[in-house]
This record gives sequence, structure tokens and C-alpha cells, in this order.
Amino acid sequence: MPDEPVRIDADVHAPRPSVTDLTPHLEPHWPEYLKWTGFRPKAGERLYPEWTGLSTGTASEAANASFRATLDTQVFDRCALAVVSTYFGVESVLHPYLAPDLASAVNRWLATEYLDTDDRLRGSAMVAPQFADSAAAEVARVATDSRFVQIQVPARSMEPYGNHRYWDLWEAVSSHDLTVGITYGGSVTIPGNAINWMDTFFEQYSAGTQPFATHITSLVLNGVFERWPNLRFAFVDTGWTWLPGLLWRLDKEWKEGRQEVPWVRRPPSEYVAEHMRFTTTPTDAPTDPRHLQLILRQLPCADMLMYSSDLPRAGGSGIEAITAGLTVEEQDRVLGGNAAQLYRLTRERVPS
Amino acid sequence: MVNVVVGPVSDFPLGTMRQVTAQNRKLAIFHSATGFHALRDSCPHMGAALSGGTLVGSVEAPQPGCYEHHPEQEFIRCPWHGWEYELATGRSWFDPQHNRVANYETSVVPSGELPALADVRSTLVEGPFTAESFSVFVEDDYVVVQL
Amino acid sequence: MTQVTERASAAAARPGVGLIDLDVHNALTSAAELKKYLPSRWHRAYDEGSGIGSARWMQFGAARLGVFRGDAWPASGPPGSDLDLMREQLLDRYNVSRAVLHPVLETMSVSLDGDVGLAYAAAFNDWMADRWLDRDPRFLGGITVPIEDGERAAKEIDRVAADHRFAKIVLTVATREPLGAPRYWPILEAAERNGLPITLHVGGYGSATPSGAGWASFHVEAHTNWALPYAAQVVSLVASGAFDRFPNVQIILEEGSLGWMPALMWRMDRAHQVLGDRMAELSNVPSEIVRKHFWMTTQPLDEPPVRGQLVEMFDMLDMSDRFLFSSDYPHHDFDAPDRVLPASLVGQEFRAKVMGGNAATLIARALGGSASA
Repeated sequence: MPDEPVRIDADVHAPRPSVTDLTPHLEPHWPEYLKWTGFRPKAGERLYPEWTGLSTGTASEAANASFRATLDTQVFDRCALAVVSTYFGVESVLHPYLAPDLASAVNRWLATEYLDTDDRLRGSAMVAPQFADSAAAEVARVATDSRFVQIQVPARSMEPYGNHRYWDLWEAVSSHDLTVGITYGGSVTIPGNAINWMDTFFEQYSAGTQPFATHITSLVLNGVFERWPNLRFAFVDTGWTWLPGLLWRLDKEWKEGRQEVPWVRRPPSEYVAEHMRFTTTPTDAPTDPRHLQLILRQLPCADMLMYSSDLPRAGGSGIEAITAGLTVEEQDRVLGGNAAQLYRLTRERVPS
Repeated sequence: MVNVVVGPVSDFPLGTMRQVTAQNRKLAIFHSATGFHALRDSCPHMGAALSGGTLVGSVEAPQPGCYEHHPEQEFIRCPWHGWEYELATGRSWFDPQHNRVANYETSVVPSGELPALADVRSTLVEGPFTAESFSVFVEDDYVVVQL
Repeated sequence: MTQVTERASAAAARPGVGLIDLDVHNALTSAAELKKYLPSRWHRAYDEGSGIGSARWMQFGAARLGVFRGDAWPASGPPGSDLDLMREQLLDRYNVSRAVLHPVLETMSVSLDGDVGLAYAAAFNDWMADRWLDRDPRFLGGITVPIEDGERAAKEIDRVAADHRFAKIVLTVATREPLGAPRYWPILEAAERNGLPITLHVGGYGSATPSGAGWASFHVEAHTNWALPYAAQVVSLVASGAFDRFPNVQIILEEGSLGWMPALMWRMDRAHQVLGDRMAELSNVPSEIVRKHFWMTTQPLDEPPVRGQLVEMFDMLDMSDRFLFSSDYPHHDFDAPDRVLPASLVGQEFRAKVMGGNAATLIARALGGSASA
């Protein structure tokens, strides 16, 4: 069946490495410093506290083995490829030399622990976007390993990602024709909503789409896609049903204020349709299935979504509700075609 | 199609943006660096009078931060939401095919040639510039809009 | 549209209430005008420190048209300061039966707490009654309060609410903390005590960051982001259990746009479901709390590429008794009542509710009060 469409899981989460896990991958001066300062990656728990049951957990031999076993039963039972990431909170590190080196060590660990051991996995490499020049160097390094298909930055950041402070990073991503994945959460010194710090997980999670919306607006209006026409963004683990409402407002604002950003020559929703894709898990779904189909048709194009299981969290449940109203061709694209195109996963790069 | 005399040129000095009523239509008359222009004086969006807007040149940018200013490509920017219409064509900047305001041909006619225009007698009555005042300014040139 | 019109409740659609505009801005003719209503002991602070133009005042920079309609400037003073021009451009032109006023640029740039903040708020309210409500019975007022000082805000609400021409309490949406925080409870309590809705309006410089991730580069970017603080406040108010504590409080989301709300309801409901009994303090699911306690004004009305998607959105929100027309006169993104939400799109009954029927229910007390003014 040579024409059978490829199935891809665009978002699985490996357990988070510990400092000990990273030691073999760090420059020799760091382990002593990290031990002396008592450094630990504090940020992981803030994404999904352990008590929510949504946490990916920390790496251990048993955890890694368990994750691999789950991949077999819940991902590779239906998909040929999966994009794997992990989290370490490097965006929270203010030390301008430590943060990039930690990111690099995590990427080396991910390659050793997972990419080397399973050729069905493709890597999402993290960078510390707050130091864009160092992040660009890490992009150049991981680009030599074709198994890395994505450069990963957290949704929560000190500035919106269209801001000039990140342009060195986008230049590097563009020149290596990689995809940027903006992933849920993150740990920075400003709150991730437009008011101030919120205390409960319910609040943080409910408002957790606000950084994503901010980045979409910023990337388009700052002209990032005019500057780098091949730049592509995956919006990972954030939901997507909020996108039409944002784009109505953004297109309206552009009609009224586009003189301020004359390099934005087309409606913002067109840039979004061409340069951005969203993972399907989670889906903040209406109770009425008819409304979900309406929202799907409100997206700026039929190809906005990429299937994701969000393993080990939601197990990809709910994809049927999305695909129910799609044509067979549209289903194929959601289940793999869109991800293959975004990540440049041509058939030659799919293991048989 | 009728020719409407909207007034003597001296009533529309350079820089004028003014509403006149002709043939029961509200027109925005502009006297800009490129001459006289007439648009329907109502933004299709919310109905604001474009004659109260801001006259601007076009600003393009092939890349972020690379500004190209074209003062000769004149746009009227609506005083409410800032939607832009090209003076020469009435077409909007953001959707020139579907969003536009009616644009009318304008000309400047010496008083001696006015009688040669078809329908001039009737349109003089219906236009803002009446037959009575017409006789007062026979030495002037006149702004004529083709409706 | 059938779904929406079929759900329309006869009670909310009151023929004859006319057009009610929930969001209109009057303005001081000059900063000095407020001093007529301000005890002299505060004049120096007003001139030299915490008054209009204080350090709290953040310049918009490149705001389009200085945030005003280009044709709304009177012969002297800023837009909104000339009663006759407002009559001509808004009340008379569109046959508005009631316009609910509040000054916005001035009130969010003065001290928002302490005795001085209370003095400014009281001066604004006295100015409102004297210069506006007394001069045209079509005007109703929003109550200015020292937002960041719950006790003093409540005191001012109690003082002013005796005048039934005041129809709502005004908070700028960007407060220093999320509104579920206890420091704001006295305001919620006073609102409930006096039977007045609280409106959240664009503005305020209290928030730590005006977006989900730092500061925008351009006004068009920042203006798009103004939807975000509304969503954050809904989340905070719902999560705090404020509506169990103050079950009669009603919140108007004014000038927040609408398109973000359906997905926020669904997301909150999903989070609520996932967290289960950890959210047990809530007496209802989040989306139902929203439908019981929030109202949304229409301006700036979303402009989807296919107009029918607007109707789909109203259908998803399922709160047709809670949309309120607003124009935001004299600001640059003014919505004209004869252009937005045509009956051909939304249906006659829905339009009638949004243009006045729903507001008549919400501010019934003020409508009775203004008749005798």
C-alpha cells in the first residue's frame, strides 16, 4: 500500500530529566556549580502539578521504560512517527551561560535516551529563548541531527515572540528550515495572563491560552513571516477552539490599524493559515457536537490541525469528535499529512 | 450620467475636504496635490463621512521596518475606524475588490464652457451651486462632478 | 438564527424601551474642571502629583487618532466634553433613549486608592451629576470609584447609589490583582447591597503585564490584546467563588469583544471537570456561572470573514438575554447602532433585545429613576 497516508503523533512528552541525568551531557564546570547552588529544575511542577495527574513525571529507568511501553501501545499502534519533547524550565534560568548550556544538555540527553533507541521518534529541541544569540547557536547545532524537527520554546515568555529580541533565533530556525513549537506553560518572572499572578491551577490553566494568543498577534504584526517566509510554528498543547475568535478580532484590528505595520500586507488570518498549525490535544470542546463542527469550519483553513496524543496525559481521546465531520482527505491531513508537511517529514524519512 | 457643478474652484482651495450634496447624494470633494477627487461621503463600514477623515500618502513596506512613502498615492482614512480608500479609485486598501466607495469623475471647467455640458441647466439647480450664484462668478473656473 | 430567536424570552424583549447605549464617554473640558468639585485640600496633590497626567498615566504613543473619532473634537476641549456635540453626533442622530456615561481616560490616570483616590472619585461623580445628568434626562451615569481601595470604593458606591440615575459601577479591567482577590470583595458587596452591576471597561495600568507574555510593540497589537484581561478576570471571578459569596452580583464585560468567550467557557468547564472535587467550592459549572453573572457589550463587534459566523457564536454562547449594545462614543472604534447587528442577520427579536431590551432589565432601577430627573 504505497499510498497509505502517513500517521503522525505531533506531541508526546517524555519524562523530565534530572540534573543527574544531564551531568554526562554538560560542560565539565557545570555539575560542581549546580551541586554547590542546589540547583534543581523547579519549573516542571508548575506546568502540571503532580496532584492533577497530568504531570509527565521525572525520568528514571523505570519511568523511561514505562514511557516507551506506552508509546508502543498508545502511539505506535496507529502512528508511524511521533514528535517527542521534554521540559526543564530553561526559560526560568536568568544565568546567561547556564540556561543555554542546560538546554543543550537536555537535547543531548533526549537524543541519547530516546532518538537513539527508537527510530520512530523525532525530536523537539528546547532552547532558552531569553538569550536569542545562544539559542540560535543551539539551533545550528541540533540542525546537524536530522532527527530533530522542531525547536521548542515555552508559551510563557518575557516578551511576545514577534519582539525583536527573538529575531536572531528566528533567523537561525529559518536558515535551517526547522519548525518552532510553542508549548503550553513555562516559568518566567511575569505572570502568564494579562492581569497578575493567579493562585490556583484552575485559573492558570484556564488562562493558559493567553500567551499563545499574544504570540500569534505579535508574530504576525511584527512581520516575522514577511521577514522569514519559510518560518513555521506549531502551537502545542494549548487547544485550538479559541483561534477563530482571536482571528476575527485580529483581522478587524488590522483593517483599522494596519498603517502602523505596513509590512503586514494581507489579513493576519492568512499568515496564520499558512504558517501555523495546532495540535488536537487538548480540545476545549463545546458540549454540543454540532458546535464543534462549526468551530472547525470557522478555522482559517481546513489544514490547521495536527493529531496529537499528548501522551502521557490525555491519550488522544476525542479525536473522533473532530474527524467525524471531515472529509477523508481532511482526516488524512489532520492525522498525519499536516504534520508531515510542517515538519518536512517526507516519505523517505518515515521508517518502514 | 449627469454633470453637476459643485462650485467655483475658488471655493475649494488646495487641501479642501468637504461634503457637498448633489442629486440627493452626499459627496466628499477633495482638492489634493493630485487635483480634484469626489467620493461618496459615507464609509461602507459604519457610515462615517469620509470628508472628515485624514488625507494620507501610501506607506508600503516590503520588509519590516523598510518604509516606502508614496505621497502621490493618496488615501482618505476614515475618521472612525481608519479604513483607507484610494482617492483616485475609491478602492479600499485592505480589500480593493470587495470593499470600495463610489468614485466620481471630476473636472475643472472654465465658466465659458459650462453651457456646452449636457444637462447643465438642470444639474445647476439640483447641485449645491445654484443658478443664481452661478451668474455671480462667471469669471471663475468650476468644479464639475460626473454622477 | 432560529435557535437564538426561539430561545428569546418574551420578558427581556420590551418594545418601547428604545435604544440604550451602555458605553459612552463624557470628558472634562480641562483637567481644571474637576477642581470645582474637589475640596481645596486636594488641589495641590491633583496639580502636582496624583492627578491627571501623573506617573500612573501611560502614554499610548502611536494610538490611532489619539483613540478618538476624528470628527468628535469640539471647538474646544477633548472629545466627549461638549454636551451639544454629543447630542448631535450620538443621541439625536441615532435616537438614543438612554446613554450610560463615564469618563475613562481621566479616571484611570489618577490615584486609585487612599483618601486622595476617594476624593477624586467623589469629584468625578459630583461632576457627572451636575454637568451631565442634570442637563439631559437621556443621560445615566457610571460610578467612578478608587478601584484599588475596596473599603473606600464601597463607601463611595453607597454615597452615590442613592441617586438612581447612576446605573453601574465602573472598574477598569486591568486591575492590580485579579478581581477574585479579597481586596476587591467590598466592591462586590457594595454592588450587591445597592443592586448595581459592575462594569469592566478597557483601561487601567494596574496589571503586571498587559498580555499573556509581556509588552506589545505596536498599538494595533496592544489593542488586539485588550481581550485578554477580560478573559483573565472572568477566570479569576469564577474561580474565587465570588458569586457564591455575593450571589446577586452582575458583571458587565464592556468593550471586551465577544469572540474569545465560547472557548473560554469550554476550557473552564473542562478544567473544572478534570479537577473534580478540588473545585467543590463552586456551586455550578463555570459556563453556567458565566451565563448567570456576566453580561457582554457588543462593541468592538467581532467581524468574522463570514457574517453568519457571528450568529453561530451567539448560538454557542447561549446567553442572548445578556448582550448589550454599546457604541463607545467618542472613541475611534465607535460602533454605529444603525449598522451593527442588522435584523437581517440576527433576527428582529434578537436585535430588539440587544439594542435595549436586555439593558432595560439590567438597569431597570436607573430607568425608573431617570424618568423623574
